[in-house]
Amino acid sequence: MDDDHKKPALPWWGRFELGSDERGLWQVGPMRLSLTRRRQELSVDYLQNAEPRDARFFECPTTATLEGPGMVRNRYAFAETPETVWVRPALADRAVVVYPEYPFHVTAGESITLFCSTPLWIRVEVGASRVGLMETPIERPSDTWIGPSTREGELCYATQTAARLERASVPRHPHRALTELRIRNAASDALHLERVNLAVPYLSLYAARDGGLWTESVVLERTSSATIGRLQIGQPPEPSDVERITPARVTSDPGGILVRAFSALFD
Amino acid sequence: MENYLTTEQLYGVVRAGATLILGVAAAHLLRSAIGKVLDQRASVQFAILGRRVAYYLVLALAFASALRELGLNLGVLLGAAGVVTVAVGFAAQTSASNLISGLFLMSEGPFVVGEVIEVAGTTGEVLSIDLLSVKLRTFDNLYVRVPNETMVKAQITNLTRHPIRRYDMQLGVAYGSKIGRVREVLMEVAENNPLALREPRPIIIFMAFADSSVNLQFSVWAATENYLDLRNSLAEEVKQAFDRESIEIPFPHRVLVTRTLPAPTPGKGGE
Repeated sequence: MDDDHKKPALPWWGRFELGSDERGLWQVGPMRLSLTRRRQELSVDYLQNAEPRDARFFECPTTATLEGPGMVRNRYAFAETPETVWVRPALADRAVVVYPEYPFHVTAGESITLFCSTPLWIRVEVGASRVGLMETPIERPSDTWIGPSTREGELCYATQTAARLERASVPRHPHRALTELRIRNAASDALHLERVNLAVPYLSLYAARDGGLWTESVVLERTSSATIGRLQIGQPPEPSDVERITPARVTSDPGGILVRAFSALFD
Repeated sequence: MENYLTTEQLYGVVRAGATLILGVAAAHLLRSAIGKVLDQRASVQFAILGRRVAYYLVLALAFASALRELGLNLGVLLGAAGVVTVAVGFAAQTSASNLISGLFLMSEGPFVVGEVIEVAGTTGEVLSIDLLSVKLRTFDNLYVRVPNETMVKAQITNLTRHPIRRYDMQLGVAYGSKIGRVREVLMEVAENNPLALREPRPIIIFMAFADSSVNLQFSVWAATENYLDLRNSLAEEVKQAFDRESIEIPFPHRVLVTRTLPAPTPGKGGE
């Protein structure tokens, strides 16, 4: 099981060519996706509760079909269906609040790096200009609410993390992106990390050569005993041989927004 | 013909007609221009109100000008209108009350166009807030007109003002059930339902030791737009989880105790 982390994983994203009346089949985590090209339509079918839940494969073209209870089908019409289809991952469309599995504390004066993962969305685009057809979460995360009251705040997604401290021990799931979170607690008391609000719409997605998906690192500094820390987007992930495959959804200056988004970090 | 309508009067009629046509066109243009400006800068109900005020004001001016072109003295008409207003005022108390209530309603702003409210037993989406009444569209697609006076007097519940809502599920479990296990099962159901918010956390409140069941309230939060979906999916998932865990949701029952009564002692009388 541990050896699995070290093996290069097959990238399931990229550009694919589909001939007339051909089909491609992907399984990414619990989602199974099928694209069927006909002369004037592209049928996009998917199942979100497929087993096994951590699979990663694709076959394009294939003779396999996708059927099962709960299958969703969307048909897209064209004058002439393009041959090129793009299947690629994207980060969540709202901020993701990451809850450590067990109470997590950063002792006074310590600087640590922890790794947490967030759920991915899948996008289907066609043609040279990459026209977007559909986008859906690979596995729908739960909703959660971050804010000072039930009247003011922000609707986010929730996910749980084992908050691993060593890169080598981080499991690589095909349907989740990893973020390196660097925390520096310069305060004189311990920092109880109850939750981390990751504003993933401001982050880009990178593919590493080993098939892992990463975001930029996020740096959090707690400079004094203040209840709110300073947070900023760090560098793209290491090793440096990564390729940016999906740009950030929101590209405006995130400074103020991130501070707001992370203000609920310390409780 | 000459006796009834002189050439000058005929010109007057033509001018009055032209004034009316131009007035209607101007009212339409102004309404759409004001609408475009207000749609971007003001709330929906003020945009609607602004459009209407501008439209009817221009229309009234055009009508007055047309009357003047016909040679009618507006001063006499307005004087007569004053007398009529007093008479009509008594008859139109309700309308006046609605009008004033409408102004209060607009300044207070308990809801805006597009929100869902519950008032006097009717629940629906607000279509418009006018000077005399509020128009609602109920979920079974009925058009309901609620007078502003009623709106001011009645208790209004705005169902979509806040971004999140809590659903309180009332349920009863059999006395034989382990409450601790029931609590765990309910929390698992909430955790596995993606529409149920993780925070604010779901809570389970003990309500009563009732006749046939231990009554609990299972309170779960959801985004307001997902409220109905959560309500339906949660009920189904709770039922499935209880069936799987053999937790009984009892229906009202009575325990009947039967016993054999001693045979009646034969009487001494008779044959």
